[in-house]
Amino acid sequence: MIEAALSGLNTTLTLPVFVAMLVGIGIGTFVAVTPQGLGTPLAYALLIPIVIQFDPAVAVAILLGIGQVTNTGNTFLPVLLSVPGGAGAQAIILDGYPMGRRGEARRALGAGFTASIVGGLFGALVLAVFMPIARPMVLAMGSPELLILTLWGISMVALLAGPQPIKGLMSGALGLVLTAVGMDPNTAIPRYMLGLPYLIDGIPVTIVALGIFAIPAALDLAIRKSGVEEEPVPLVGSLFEGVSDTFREWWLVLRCSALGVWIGFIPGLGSQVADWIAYAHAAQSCKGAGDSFGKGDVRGVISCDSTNSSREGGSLIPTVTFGVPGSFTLGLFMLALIMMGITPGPSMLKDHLDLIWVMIWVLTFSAIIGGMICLVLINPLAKLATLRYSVLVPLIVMMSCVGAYATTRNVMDLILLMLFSVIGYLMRRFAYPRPPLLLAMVLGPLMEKYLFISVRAYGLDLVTRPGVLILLAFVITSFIFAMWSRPQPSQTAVKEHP
Amino acid sequence: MKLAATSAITFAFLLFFIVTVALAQGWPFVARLFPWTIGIAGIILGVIQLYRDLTGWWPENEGGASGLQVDEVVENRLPLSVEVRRAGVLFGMLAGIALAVWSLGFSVAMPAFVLAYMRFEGRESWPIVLLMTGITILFVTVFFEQFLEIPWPEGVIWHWLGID
Repeated sequence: MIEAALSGLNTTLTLPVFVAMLVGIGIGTFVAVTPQGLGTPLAYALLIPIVIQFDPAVAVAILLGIGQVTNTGNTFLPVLLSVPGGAGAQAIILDGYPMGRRGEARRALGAGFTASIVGGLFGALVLAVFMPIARPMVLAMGSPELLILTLWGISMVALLAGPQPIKGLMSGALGLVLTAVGMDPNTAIPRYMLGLPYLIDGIPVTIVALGIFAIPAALDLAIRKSGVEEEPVPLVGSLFEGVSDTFREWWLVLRCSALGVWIGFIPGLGSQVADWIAYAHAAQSCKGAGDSFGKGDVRGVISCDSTNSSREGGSLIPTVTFGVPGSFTLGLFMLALIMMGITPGPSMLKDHLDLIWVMIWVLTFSAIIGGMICLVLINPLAKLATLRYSVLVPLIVMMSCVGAYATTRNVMDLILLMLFSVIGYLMRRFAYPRPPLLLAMVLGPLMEKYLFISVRAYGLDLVTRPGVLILLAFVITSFIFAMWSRPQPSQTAVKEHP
Repeated sequence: MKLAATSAITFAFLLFFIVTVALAQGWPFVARLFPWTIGIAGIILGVIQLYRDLTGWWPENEGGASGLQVDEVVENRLPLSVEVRRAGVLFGMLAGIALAVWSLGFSVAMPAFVLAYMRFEGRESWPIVLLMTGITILFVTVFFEQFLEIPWPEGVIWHWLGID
């Protein structure tokens, strides 16, 4: 294990991988700061068709660089404009924006960035500690256990689809059916190909990702024809005061970081609820929170940022060990790995341990470098928050078309992109959650493979295997925890009227 | 009983799952096992959701959460006609891109789109428009064709004119 850790460090410090990580950090900062926090899923959807052309370590460095630093940069919008900086930075508004209005924007940002650095390091550390413990356990798993874990990943996300779990499950089922399109690998029977040879290898998941996420994001900007509506609060106050606030509240930072790792570990909980759970924890446990929280208490910002950042490391645990994405974004990350011929899960632990260590090191370095960049370049980055829609829309559409067309270089790629753009737009408009669809498309082929092997080898006895029973108990427990952790009505109400 | 656009979407989902199961009927067991398992589950879920949409049973905003926790919240403050028109413009542009890629080739179609959108839809100044168009040309040709060595197919129009 130590050899793999050192080999991973060596690889991370090679010029191409390190530069790729810096590129990822730059892109991640950009998407986190631009209007409405365009976010990691969009960046991943746009970049996966490109990064899979590179060496896996380079691709991992770009994608995880983006993922980690987005959790740092997403503090800008809530503090300066009272706009959620993507899904994971909604609760920050509650105290970050009042601080900004009070002339303490730099203090809030300084505290948030520093908490993100510490949280990111904590997440990477837990991932590093967990690897040697999990490896023998995961390698002992068979297809039935892996089938249960895959089902767990899809259904958790679907069940957490807010107040509409049935729509979430339907979205997941749609994604699973779409994976059946193309030549059946077991019988060589063409399934749902509609006579189109283009579909022989199935529907390209990258095009689906671009269609249901990237184009609707561009569409949203094009429809509103604006970036942000309000004027940002003045960027004044003491950055250093925020940094020292975080170190003074070290116990809160550690507690919230641990919470972030746990939330990240459970597939489906992800960033959408992490900041709310952390905020609720801080509001309940901090001295005098009843009077100060919601009115500009720096501890509110610190709790959200440390949780958000550590969540990335926690989410990678089920992703690389069980092959179950810990978050939707990591589902896209997993897709990139699969497209490069690396299947996360037991086989990755066996054959690509050094790549897992590259991930750990990239998380570590990008947490530090990303946080430092945000602290040092605070003024120019704040200006990005007011970028116009007329620059962003063609950029997103162009990148989407490039990504889609690079798949097979057939005009059908673009037609498929249009089709899934319409589906994505309608799903978003009528509140059908899109992440379960995409996660199902990523996990579907694995699930079918495990189902086929399990049924062939064990028949109905597969449900009586001790490993399956233990995992089922674990799955049910995490379901209960997940449902219990859903944001309460009051939290959601605040989200809409900060 | 109430009919709304959301019921139509649910019905489309349900229809999709029914067709999925029906089409797999003649396949060998191994080939239809997965689509049938998922398709039948989808039909059951679709029927429940449709009943929910039509009767208002188990309202969607029960529990107070107005948005989806695993997806973005749509906050639409514009009239429907404006939204449909602007969405139509962008989808029309996408169709135009597909047509331009087929006829003119990708390396011409993408910069042309960026220029047209920024100048005529976004009303950006010429220096910014030209800068972004230049970046697009560099990205599409230099990065993809030279660096990644992914050549884009030429448009058919150049073939017809004999200059490909």
